[in-house]
Amino acid sequence: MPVISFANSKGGSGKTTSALLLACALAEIKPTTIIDADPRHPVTKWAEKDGKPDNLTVITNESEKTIQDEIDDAAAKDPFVIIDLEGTASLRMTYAISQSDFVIVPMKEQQQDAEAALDVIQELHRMMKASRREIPYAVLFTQSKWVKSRTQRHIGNQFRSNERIDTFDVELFEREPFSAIFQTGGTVRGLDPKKINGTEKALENATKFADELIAKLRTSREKQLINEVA
Amino acid sequence: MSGERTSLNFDDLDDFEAKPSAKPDKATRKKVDQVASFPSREAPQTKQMNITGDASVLDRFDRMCKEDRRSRHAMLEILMDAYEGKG
Repeated sequence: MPVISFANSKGGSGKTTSALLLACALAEIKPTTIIDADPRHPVTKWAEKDGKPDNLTVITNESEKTIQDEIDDAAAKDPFVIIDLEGTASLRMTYAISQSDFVIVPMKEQQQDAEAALDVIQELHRMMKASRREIPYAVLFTQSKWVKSRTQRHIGNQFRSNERIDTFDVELFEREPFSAIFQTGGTVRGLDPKKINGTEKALENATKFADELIAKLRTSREKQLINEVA
Repeated sequence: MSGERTSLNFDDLDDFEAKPSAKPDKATRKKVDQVASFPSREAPQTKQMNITGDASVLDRFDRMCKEDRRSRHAMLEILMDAYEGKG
């Protein structure tokens, strides 16, 4: 059922990596579609290499005019639909988030990423009003480092302590396997740990992210059911 | 790589299924267009189409456009949407 968009209007915030990690994790269990709506088409290029899971369908989106039909078709086919959006505030992003069941806002703990994340959250609230439905969302911190600067901690804490903005407990850390899959193709699980450092830790990190998302989806579904009954 | 999952609650996910339609209705789409603050980044693509056919059919189409104060292009889209059941 869930259509899950990855949206941040700034490039380099970790959308494509986190979207692909999630899509690969879900595809291990259920048929999943990932819609590549980034004009650079990084996921499409990844899929042209060896190792794409059989359960994962990649759709290349070319235009805002077709994205709604593509989402609709994919959601009718597969239980999970992931949308990787471009790093630009665009109508294509608006259409995708208006049709989503959950929006993940990936960001690095940096000022520019944070400002762009807030722009997306504001647009998201406009879409909730337009579509008269709740669209749950959460901020995901990406490319995190173990040792954080004071600025990074300050920006991260501003989001974490804001009661109106949900954040993932899990952060996606900066790990070699996460960038290696774009070069080699395939999934983190399929990487050779003798050639790529930190593969086990990366897999654990990606799995925990997917676990937390599933928990959030279930919680939002329960809330929706309670609201419908009330 | 080990094939073992390290997940705690990542079960069979059987409670998630494909759904018949995720697309918002026409009224909602119109509202989305009205309140969207993010602009289109795509250059408008225009194309010209000439239609040769029975004059009464084309006259009927022109009358529809005139009566509804719509361009031929806009009316054509409305008719196609109705034909595909998207209205």
